[in-house]
Amino acid sequence: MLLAYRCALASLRVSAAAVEATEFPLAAERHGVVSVPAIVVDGRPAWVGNISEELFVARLLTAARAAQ
Amino acid sequence: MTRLAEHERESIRGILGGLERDVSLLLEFGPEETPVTVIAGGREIDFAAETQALLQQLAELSDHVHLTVKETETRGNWPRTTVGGRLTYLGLPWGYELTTIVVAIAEAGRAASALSPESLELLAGLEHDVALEVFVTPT
Repeated sequence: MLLAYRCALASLRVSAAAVEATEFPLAAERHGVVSVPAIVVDGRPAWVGNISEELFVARLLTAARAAQ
Repeated sequence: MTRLAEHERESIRGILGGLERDVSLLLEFGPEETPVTVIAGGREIDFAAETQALLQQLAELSDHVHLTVKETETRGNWPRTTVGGRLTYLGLPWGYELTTIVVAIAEAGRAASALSPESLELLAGLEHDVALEVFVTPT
């Protein structure tokens, strides 16, 4: 979550929301969340787990391009 | 309502002591789109009330943290906490997720980004808006 928040603070193009999965089970189910942290980019499941900053930004950009 | 333990208050006070600027907390709540019942400690959890109680306690730990509470009649995904006008947390930040809110406040209170220059340069090249959602759990 830390990196998502840092990216959102660094770029006005990025928004970041943490979603408490047990409180919003339908949203979690819709995105196929089975373990956390599960990252969804532009409404599409992207990856699961904590990763390095370098990889996080790279995956964010890749997922953003794929969502266009 | 959940009360932060003294050791938690001390730890959080230490983190918030590093804030370099004011940070707003906006708590919004109303009728839930998909109500969920959670029983903990023998009682049903009121997510909005618990969130408000936690945020009030956080705001008491730093003069830089300012809490605003808004109740709406619009059905939606509540409670929603917005930190520094940019960072969102949907739900009650309990258990381990209290850390998420504290970290959000700490990050929003930085004068400069903690990301590397390389990451900042890559993000500056974004040509379209990107919405990140990170699903988390309190345990």
